[in-house]
Amino acid sequence: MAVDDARALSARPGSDGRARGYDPARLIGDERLPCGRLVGDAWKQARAHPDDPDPHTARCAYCRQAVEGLAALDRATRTLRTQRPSARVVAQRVITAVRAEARLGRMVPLDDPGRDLRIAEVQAAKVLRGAADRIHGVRAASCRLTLHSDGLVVDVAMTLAATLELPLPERGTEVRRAVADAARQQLGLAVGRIDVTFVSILEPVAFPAAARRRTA
Amino acid sequence: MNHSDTSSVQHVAARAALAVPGVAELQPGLGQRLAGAATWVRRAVGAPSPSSPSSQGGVRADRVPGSAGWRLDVRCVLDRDRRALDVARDVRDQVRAAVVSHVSGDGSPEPVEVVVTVTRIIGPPPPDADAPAP
Repeated sequence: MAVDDARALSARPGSDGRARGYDPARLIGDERLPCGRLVGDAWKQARAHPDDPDPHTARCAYCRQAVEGLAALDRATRTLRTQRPSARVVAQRVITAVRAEARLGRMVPLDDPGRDLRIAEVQAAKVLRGAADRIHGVRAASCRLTLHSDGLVVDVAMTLAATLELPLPERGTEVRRAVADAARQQLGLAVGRIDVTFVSILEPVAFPAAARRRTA
Repeated sequence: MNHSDTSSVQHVAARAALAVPGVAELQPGLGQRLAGAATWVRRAVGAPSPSSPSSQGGVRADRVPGSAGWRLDVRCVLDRDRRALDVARDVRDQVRAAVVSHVSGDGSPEPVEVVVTVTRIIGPPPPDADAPAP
């Protein structure tokens, strides 16, 4: 198909006659959809069997959206073969769209029995890291969410840097309380375990409250 | 039996979602963003564009296979001043009510399933607990 034809989107072919920088299929192929599948794999499946989607694609909204979008782009690319407007801009728009989707990462459920409300893990983790950052002398380094087998409760694992003005166990308790409050009051997540690991020491003067607010 | 088309269902759902307090905007899905790129190409080459995705961006609507019902995916960017769960519940309920009313018309009600995804939360974070009072 036309999207796979690098020459169709190449403004300046390389020495081998093929595009070096603006082949969307090559550039986005290793981006992973929220369902875990590579965009390139979803596209290959759809291209091989356009009228008979594989079982995963048939029930996966992410793959279907990606394939429909790429198919629309493919049709437009065929038009471009004779017209050739700015290939760089076209490719950049496609890459930007795919990367914005990939940045969302996995989805985690909000605490609703209907199980049809969810939030991007990246955004939930950002809120929880912010809760830890607001504790004096603490800064969150990372935050991972792990979904229980019941599909509703999530465990939180956070790494932190902290000053040594207070004993670390007290700091850990404070962080867990703040994270639990944020999960419940700001997000509405059902949180199970909250594990915190201190991975580095902060100098006490390095993170006054005003500085932390500026860097949030 | 009614004949609501996908585009009108998406439009009704988007309008209902955007009316919920706490919803800042809707975030288009990958397919819509890629289709947007294709639409731009069509304009660039002077070819006709089938429809503008802007009025339905952030809502995907599909007929449920083997049934008369609809399945909608709504992707929202939220303001930080309301709890995400509460806003998402309101979006689900408002979108479902609006779409049921739209697709059912004078006929029998059609089942409508709504999935809400919070893709981003925007706005200033809460103040530091140890920050001095203004």
